[in-house]
Amino acid sequence: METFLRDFSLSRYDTVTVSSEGAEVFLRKKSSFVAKVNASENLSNVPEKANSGTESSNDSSMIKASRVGLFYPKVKVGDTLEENFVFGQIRAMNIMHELKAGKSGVVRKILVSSGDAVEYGDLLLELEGQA
Amino acid sequence: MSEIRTFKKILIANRGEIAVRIIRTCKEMGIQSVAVYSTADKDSLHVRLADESVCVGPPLGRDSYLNVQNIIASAEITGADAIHPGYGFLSERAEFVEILQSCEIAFIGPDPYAISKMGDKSEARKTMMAANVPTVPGSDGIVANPKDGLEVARKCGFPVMIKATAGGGGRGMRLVKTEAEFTELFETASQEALSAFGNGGLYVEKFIVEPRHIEVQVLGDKYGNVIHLGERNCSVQRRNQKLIEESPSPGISEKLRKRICEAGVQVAKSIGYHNAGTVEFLVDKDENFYFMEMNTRLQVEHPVTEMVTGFDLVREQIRVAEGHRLSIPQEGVRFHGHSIEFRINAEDPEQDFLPSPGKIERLVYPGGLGVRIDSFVSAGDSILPFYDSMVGKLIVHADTREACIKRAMRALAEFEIRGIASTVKLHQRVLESSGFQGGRFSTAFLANEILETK
Repeated sequence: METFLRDFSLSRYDTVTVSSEGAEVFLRKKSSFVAKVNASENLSNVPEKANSGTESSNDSSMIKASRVGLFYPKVKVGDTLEENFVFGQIRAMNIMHELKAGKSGVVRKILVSSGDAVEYGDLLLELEGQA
Repeated sequence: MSEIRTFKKILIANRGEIAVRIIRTCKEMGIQSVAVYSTADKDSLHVRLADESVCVGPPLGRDSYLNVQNIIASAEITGADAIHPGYGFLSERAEFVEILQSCEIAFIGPDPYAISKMGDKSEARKTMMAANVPTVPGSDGIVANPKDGLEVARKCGFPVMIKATAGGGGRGMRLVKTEAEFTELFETASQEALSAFGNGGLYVEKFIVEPRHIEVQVLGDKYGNVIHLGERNCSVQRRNQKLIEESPSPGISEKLRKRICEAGVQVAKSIGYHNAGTVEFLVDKDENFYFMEMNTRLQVEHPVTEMVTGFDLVREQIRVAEGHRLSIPQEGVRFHGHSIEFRINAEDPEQDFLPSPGKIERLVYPGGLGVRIDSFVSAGDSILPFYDSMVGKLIVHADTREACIKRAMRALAEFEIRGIASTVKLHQRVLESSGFQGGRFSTAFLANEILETK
């Protein structure tokens, strides 16, 4: 159980349900704990990875890449995003995949230049004043 | 088809020890390597060893190592020429290979035709019957209903096995000992196969009592040349999971060895196979052998073949995928000594092989002459709950089987692993048993003689 809890705390999952012989345990991380674990992990991280340090900043203001490919933003700094707003595209296997914000707010920073490669979890946009 | 395409950069669509194994050969060949990884694996050895790495998704395999779009996009953004799939994950998915072809990325493995031909078990069986390769007596293909199945079972004699054509891992599989229980077991197997694989098709085979599992390593190029690199005995198994593999196989005649290796080549040739593959056979007490299945990829246990032949199988895979001819003819293959591989899994044999993920507190690998470790973890690393429980493989080589067993005992005694359960002690018990030392053991050996007699 101890090793499981450690694995869980190091994993990126925020919740987990364990069921065994009819009993069920539901675990949820406290966000401060997630931030702490990830902050210490980052010390040993590969420095050139764009996504290192993602979770140590305030997650809720960040929009991350959900897939691998070339990123093309469709917004500029100062634009207001709604949840279903297409803020950019990722090109992979010659197909453009539209990216929806999933949250609302004003674009504070665009963290990847148009046409640059992104991997899963890379930070794309930073928002402020979210609803 | 016959032109040479030299790979400058290879993406490895896998993790763990096999990703590390493949990256090592890439480095020796001067080929750049690209690792893909899930968020749970970001500090894993394969990511650190590769020249470049791309995160392809969250921890679960289906979201990351099986995420075809992200893996192909990773090859595109890094400019990789080819993808090596390792074993498991995408290694035997014909449609993945077809997508790669349309993206002009080479696949280091056979073509989709061979993969799908061998992936469908009853189709493979039919193909082998047509090629005059001995198969276990049974139905010609899928049997339509329990009545037809029972007729086949009567003809080949009980006990019989009912198997799912889309099967694997023992699901949709039933041992039927008597005629009376046939219909009921047929129906439950069909239900199980339908829910597990979306295909309820079943076939019926005679059940071979206490068989040995002997498989042949084959290697083919794109010009129709196929050679074998000898056989491996993988009879030390638990519920169809191999634990110990060795080459050459003990306890068989030279005549059988020759015939079974030739049959392996015949199987590969009959489907125009290229790249590395393994043809698995069941061998009964009277040295009759029957085609079981062909694995159209690199096997976990390939190192024992490398130890006795001196071949780097990954290098050969890359070369034939580039379009080169096989580097040597059959007569050029020389066998030296004996090799045994032990799978060190984070599983507790005392608790029905319960997986034991967690942090490895202490880990000391054995070393010395004739000892090889293929692993990806060191002390402080964790065996993650999301993936298989393999910690690594201990591969031992010596001049004779007897010397190899002694060396393996010495090496296993050096193996220190704390923080997680492991299979090290179980391997020691197997090595000390007269059944293993005698060299004539079946796939029932581990369950009947080791796990029962504690």
